Amino acid sequence: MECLEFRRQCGTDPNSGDPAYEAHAESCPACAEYARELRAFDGLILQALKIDVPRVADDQLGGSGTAHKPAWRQPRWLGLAASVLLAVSVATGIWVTLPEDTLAGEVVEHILHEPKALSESTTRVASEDIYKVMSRAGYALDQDVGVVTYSRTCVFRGYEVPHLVVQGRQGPITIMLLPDIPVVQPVDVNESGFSGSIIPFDKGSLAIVGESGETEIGQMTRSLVDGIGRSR
Amino acid sequence: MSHPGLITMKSSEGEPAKRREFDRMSAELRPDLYRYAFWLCRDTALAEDLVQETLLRAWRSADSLRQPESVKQWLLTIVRREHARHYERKRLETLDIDDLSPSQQAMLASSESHEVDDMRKALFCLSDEYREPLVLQVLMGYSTAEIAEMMDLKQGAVLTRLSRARKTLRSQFAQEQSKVKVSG
Repeated sequence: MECLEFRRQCGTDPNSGDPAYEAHAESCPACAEYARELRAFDGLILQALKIDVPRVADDQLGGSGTAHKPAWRQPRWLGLAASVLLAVSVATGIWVTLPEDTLAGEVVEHILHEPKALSESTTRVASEDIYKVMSRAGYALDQDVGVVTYSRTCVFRGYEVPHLVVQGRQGPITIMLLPDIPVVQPVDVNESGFSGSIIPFDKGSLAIVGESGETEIGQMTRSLVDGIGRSR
Repeated sequence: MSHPGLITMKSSEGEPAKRREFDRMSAELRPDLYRYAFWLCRDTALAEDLVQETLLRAWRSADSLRQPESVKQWLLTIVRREHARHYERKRLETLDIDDLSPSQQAMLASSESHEVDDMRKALFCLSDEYREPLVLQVLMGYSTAEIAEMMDLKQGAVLTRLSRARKTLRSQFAQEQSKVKVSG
């Protein structure tokens, strides 16, 4: 593939998975950089397109689907307690950051957006490829965490982030290192058939998400915390 | 992601089970339907109406769907049809940034960063024929062949529109960014 054709495809169909396109990106640093810039631009377009979605009443079509179940109502004392906590936090200058529910949702949305990454596979990604992806973010994976079958740099919230998939006992486990997206405390991920957590890591966070019921998340999290370090 | 429930529910289960399954499926797909509807019409209230009308129509004809894996595409097509029906006589043309409606202005004010804000402005001003394939590709993840089928276009035409959409956005975005630099 020629540079001109590559750049044309960059602007029209950058995620086609065309082998010739991928091969050209590997062999031409200038085009690879051009593609990286366009991916970041597409990441920004995606962020802008993701407008907030208003809630609808449970009894409407497209509601939360809980119309036939008793709705959980927040006890009044909990609301009061939250208000008091917020007032105390502000008065004492301690800002309590509540868990970022939207971050969990966005991670799951990102996973669903890349179905190829979740295909069950036994083909191990070469360690050099994992190194490339991790080092681009300034990190290295120094420990064997299992069979890595997917390793890509993705754009998430406008940042380039390493996105890996390891085959767990019950299916693929997604790992997303988010160096520029901090969380103050662990955030549970539990939606659309996925479960896991997003934990504070270095100055950002680390998301480890498997299929609901995956039993290896805890072990995987410990291995990753021990195994990921700053690249030299 | 497939939604097998739409097919399996109707054969042996009763109406409440069918409604529950439909609610579950539509709640899952609603964000995509709403965002697609919004970027077609650029109006939050109308987008909600379009989604609600789409789900009503889908509910009435759920029994006719034979391919559960194509539920999302089927619903998006209904959104598109409903939108076209709405604008049969009154087609919105490209907007000037100074002509944004109060709800559009409010959406820009709620953006989390200047860059996202500027990109939304650029998207608001992009013509319908360029914005729609871009939404289907970047937000929904459809291939150019699928977009061609949904929009009833040739694949070459989709590629051209996507290329022009990005080019126009880059230029518009750069203009917005330069305004920030000048005023900053």
